[in-house]
Order: sequence, then C-alpha cells, then structure tokens
Amino acid sequence: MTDCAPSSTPRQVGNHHDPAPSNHHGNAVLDEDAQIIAAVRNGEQEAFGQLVVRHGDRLYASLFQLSNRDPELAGELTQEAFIRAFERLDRFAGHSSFFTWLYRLARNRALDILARRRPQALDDAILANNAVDERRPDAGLEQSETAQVVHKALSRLEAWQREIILLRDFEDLGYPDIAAALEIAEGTVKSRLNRARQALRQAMEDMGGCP
Amino acid sequence: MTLTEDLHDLIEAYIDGEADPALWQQALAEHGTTLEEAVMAARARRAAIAALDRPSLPPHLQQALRSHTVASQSPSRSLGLLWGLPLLATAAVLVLIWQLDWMSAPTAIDTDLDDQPLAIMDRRTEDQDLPVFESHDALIDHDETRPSPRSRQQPAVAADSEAPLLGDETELALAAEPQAAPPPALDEAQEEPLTDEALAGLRREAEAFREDIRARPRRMPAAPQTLSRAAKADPPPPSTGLAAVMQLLTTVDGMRHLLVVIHNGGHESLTSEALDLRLEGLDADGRKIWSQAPANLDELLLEPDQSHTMQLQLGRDITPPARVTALRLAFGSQQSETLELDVETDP
Repeated sequence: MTDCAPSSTPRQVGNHHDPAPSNHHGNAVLDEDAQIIAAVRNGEQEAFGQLVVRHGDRLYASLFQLSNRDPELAGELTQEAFIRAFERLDRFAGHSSFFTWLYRLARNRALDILARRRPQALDDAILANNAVDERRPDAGLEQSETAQVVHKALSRLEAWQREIILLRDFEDLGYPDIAAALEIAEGTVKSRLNRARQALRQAMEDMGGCP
Repeated sequence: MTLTEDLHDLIEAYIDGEADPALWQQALAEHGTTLEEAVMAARARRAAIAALDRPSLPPHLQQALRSHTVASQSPSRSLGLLWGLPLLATAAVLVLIWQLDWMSAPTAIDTDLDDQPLAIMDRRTEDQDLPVFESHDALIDHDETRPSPRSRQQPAVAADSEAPLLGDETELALAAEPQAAPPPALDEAQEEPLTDEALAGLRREAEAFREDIRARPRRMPAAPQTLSRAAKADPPPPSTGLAAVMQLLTTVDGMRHLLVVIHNGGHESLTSEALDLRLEGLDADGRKIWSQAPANLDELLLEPDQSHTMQLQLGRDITPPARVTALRLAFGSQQSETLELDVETDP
C-alpha cells in the first residue's frame, strides 16, 4: 500500500460495491412537506415555520459549505431562499422535493456572488479549529490528514465544481435530484461530476496530498 | 503508476454501483493493487466530504424567518388582496376577447402544441389567433372588441392536444383550451356563466380596465404573481404597434420551453430587420449578461393584425448560461418585462 492509501480499513474491492446513489430523504418526509405546504396555501402561514425548522439547518449547512464556510453569506442566502419560497409557494408543483426547490431558489444567487470571488483555499487555522461534531460517530474523520486536504482542495475549486460534489457527497443526493436542483440532464450531472472530481484530485495533488 | 481519467471515472462508477462488471474485472486484472488503492482513496475523499461540518441555522435567523412569514400575508391571501381587482379585470378582458374574437378555427397554439418535436415555429395567421397572449398591451393599440366577422362556434380544440406537453403550472392551457382549468386566480374570476347580462358587465369592466391601462405610464408595473410567467412587452410606439408575450412551460419530460408570441397591432408591415428581436438574459441582480436572437426569423414579415409564435426549448434552441435567472424580449429599443426562470420548474 502506498503512502496515499487511506488509513481507514479498506473495503473489499472486486466483489462489492455501494448501492446506487439515492436520496436518503424518503417519501414520508415528502408527504409531511406536502401537508405543510397545503396548510400554508390554505392560509395557515405560521405552518411555514415548520418548513424552516425542517429544512433550515440542512440548507444553511449546504450553503455554508458551498460558500467556503462563510456563515454570513450562508445565512443571508438561506434567509433569501426561504422568503422567496414563501412568496412563491403557489408555484411549487411538487415535482421535486421541497428541499430541491428551495436549494434551486438559493443557488443562482449563491453562484453569482461566489463567481465574483476568487477561489481561495481555506486557512489552515480554520481547518485546524474545525469543531468535531461529537454526535456523529465518524466525526473523527475530519481530523485526519486526508480529510483536511480534501476540505482545503474543495475550497480551491470553482463554485460549480464544489457545488456538484457537495450535492452528491455531502447532501447524498441521487443523480435525478441533482439534475432537478441544477436544472440539467442526468447525463450532464455525471459528466460534470466526473470533471469536478478530476479537479478535486488535481487540487489535492497540487497541494502535495494524495489525489 | 498513474491511472487515466477514464479509470478514475470507472472507479467512481464502481463506487456508485454503476460500473459494467466485465469492464471492472478487466480493469482490475490490468491494474490490480493500483486500482484497489485508488478505490480506497476515492472512498476516503467521499467520506471526508460527507463528514464536513454541518452547522445549524443560527437561532436568530430561524426566528427571524418564522416571524417574517407569520407577519406576512400568506401567498394566496396576499394575492387575493393585492391583485384581486386587476386579475378580475384581466380575466374579464380575456373572457371577452375569447367570446368575441376567437371563436373560429383551432388556434395556432392548438396546432403548435401538437407538433412534436418542438422547434421554432412560424405560425402567421390572419387576425388574432392567440387569445390569451393578446394581452392588455395589445389591446391598447387596436380595437379588440369589435365583433368578429367569423363564426362564433367553439374553437375546435382537442382536449388532449396539450396533455402530453404541458406541466400543471403553466397558464398556457387557458390560451389553447378555454374550457380547461385556468390558473387559480383566473379561475375564481371566471366561474360565472356567461349570460348576456354577465357579458355586458364584463364588457364594462374590460372597458374600465382598458381605460386604466391607457392612464398608466408607458412602463407597466410588475405583473401579478399568477401571471408572472407571462411577461408582457411594454406598449410599443404607436407607429410600431408591436405587442409581445412570453410564457414558460414545462413538458412532461421535464424540458422547458419558452413560448414567445408577437403581434403586429399596428398598421404597417414589420420585417425581421425592423423588429430586431432579441432574447436577453438577466442575472440575479437584474444585469443583462446574455443575448441571443431567435433563429429562423430572417424571412419574417409580420403584416398588420398578424401574430407570430416561437416555441424555443431551453438548452436546445436557446442556451442562456446558468447564471441567467430571468429572460426578457427586446425589440428595437423596447424591452418586455422579465420572465423569471427560477419559478417552479420541476422536471
């Protein structure tokens, strides 16, 4: 095994593969969202608060990572997205999940802002000070060298590259959901994801890490 | 040993469970340990990304959002209060136009929607053949209330003609199929049976609405929410008399199409050169960042009272960049209102 091999126990290669990507947010979640949305449409606007509770953290975390861990920008984008969602709820047809729609409302503005910024790697101090989430059993992974290199390389990518990788690996969205969020075809999702992953490997290599 | 990009793509497909088994076995036989290590490295990268920290939405933001939505009117309620009267008047105008002017042959839209695959279509028809798209702006420049010399029989609209094409949020159904369910706000205003008395009332409302439109500044205010997918052009100069409407619709296969209808309400023929039509894309801040002239317009000659319909598939016929959040139609120095692209467009 070379120095670049991960220190964690490798899975067996050759006769096992992960299940196909899928959205871990099941139908029950979608049904509950649909009920809440119906209530808001019927005039119970306070029910919208439930959507904020249900999806606020997830959207904020996603935008936090997309914006290279900028809490102010993530907060601003999250607020804007929810307000726009509230104002346009009549137009939500339910063909995609509420979260996907919400994310779509946020992403154009996010990418527009991020496009004006030069890609900038995260500061080592920020990475070192990352708090470990003790609620997750795999939280220690963040402290590994590989994880830090990945995080840093991710921050050097262009926003669209970081976005599609985050949607797949951070949000655990399946290809159909990513296609809906980005409004592109599934085939395009795969090709863009491959290019983004290639850029990530290259960035890691440039940083002297393992690709 | 360095793996090629193709092999890296294969590794990612393998991890997703989408790699061709034979291809994978072949790669494994050829690259052995190197491939195995690359798989582990790829898994480690994914795991590291999945383990990125997930901060919660700060409580003050969550509270602010909840307060905002509670303090605000619900979307449907505010719509009713703010836009009720204009919508009622709009609906009245639409019904009136439909009743008086377009009772004959199938509309251009009817036939257009049957034509698959979709492409830019050139439908020039005599007189008005596109009821809904002939919106307020067009009414300003010509007398739309004159009795039509043509038959008043119901348009021969096939109810199924839109079925495979339209998403459930599009208002195009109202244009092509007057009997079909219109968008909610219009539906409420259109429920009364059209007796002679009701029709006379609608006429009066339409006239009042037209007067109101005439009294407004040249640039129209933003359209109501339920009509915002149909962007109307500014009233053109009287010498041109051009009216335009854009509408976004989603097909059942998820493809989005932009429907553009232009109508020459003036008294002179308009050539494509004189029209100088362009689609312009705006970013989230309202800046123009993209422009494209619709194709196949070179030979366009729009006679007075003629309409021309274009149906453009996004991503195929027109390819605005991802940062474009709204479209507008520009002709000469005129610009239509913007048509937002980020409304519900679930595929």
